[in-house]
Amino acid sequence: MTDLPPPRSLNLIERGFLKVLPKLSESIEGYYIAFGEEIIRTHGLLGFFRWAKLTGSTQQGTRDHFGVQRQHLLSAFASMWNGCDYCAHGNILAHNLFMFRDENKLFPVTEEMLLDMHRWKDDEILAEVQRLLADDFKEELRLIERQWQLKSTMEEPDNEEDRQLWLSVRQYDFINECSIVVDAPAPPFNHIAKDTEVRARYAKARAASSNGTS
Amino acid sequence: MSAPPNIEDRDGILWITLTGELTKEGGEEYRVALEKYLDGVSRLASVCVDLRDLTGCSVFARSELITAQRLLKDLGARTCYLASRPRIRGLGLWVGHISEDENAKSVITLEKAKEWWDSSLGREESARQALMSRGRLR
Repeated sequence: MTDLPPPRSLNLIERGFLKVLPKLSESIEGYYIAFGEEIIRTHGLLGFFRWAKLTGSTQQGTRDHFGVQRQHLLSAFASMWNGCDYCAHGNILAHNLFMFRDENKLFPVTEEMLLDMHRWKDDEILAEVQRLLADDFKEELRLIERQWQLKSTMEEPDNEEDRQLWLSVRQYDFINECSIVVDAPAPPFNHIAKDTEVRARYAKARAASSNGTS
Repeated sequence: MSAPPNIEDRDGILWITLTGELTKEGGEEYRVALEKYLDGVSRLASVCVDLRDLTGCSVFARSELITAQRLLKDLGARTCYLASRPRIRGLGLWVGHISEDENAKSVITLEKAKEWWDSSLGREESARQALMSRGRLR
């Protein structure tokens, strides 16, 4: 059996930065992405900031167009199609928390379900998502289907919405390069992570729903 | 349990097929078979690692995939991991990243594989440039 190659060692400044980054990120954003170290290992410290600027501006574009809730939905599916369960989990959890807080609804695609779907074939995933969303979540389904089309075919963006969907896919092609080294579960990838009251109510509602009492 | 790996030339493309659940032994068998196949080969252009019928991969087999990918990288190959399950595409991405082979990429369809073989940008660089272009309308 061959051994995995050792990862590049971090220098003193990089190690120092990584010591403060999780606490800083958690206090400002409410969460920390576990692959911060891999971004620095891959791109270096300056590259880390360029990475954050590029992904941040693309994410803002998707958010401006679709709203924060759907931006997380699209990010979750873009990550799942790439096989990154960590980002898929962090984004679907953020989406589901927003939907619960703002619309008092439980999205039929749960965090656990999305993780499980990573093992399925693409057509099985699409069929199940269609079954779950067809009645009451038509707009979410339409966006997921169109995003998949732009991801899996040679079709090019045809309008502004398409362009944003295409960018949502490409963004995670870029992000998942580093995030693929970590595994789910992930925290919600949004400030909503700080809202412990909503998170507790959501967890309780999910548990009640899965027990058939809601 | 995985079936023995199949390695063959298909119209100038080195086509590697792995199926079933890739175990530690299956991973070793693949790496050894690839080493044998590539013995004496000095240059490779396009490679397809067809994982459409691969259902899983043990953690012990993963290091063998890395070693195999480094062999392909050293020969200058442009590799596609063709997969129909997200988890397996994630495996292909992980192999490309850990083996530091920018010319290895997971794809969903054969059409996307052909596009990759015909291009020259690295995996991450192509994703970065796509983002920086902000997307163009047809």
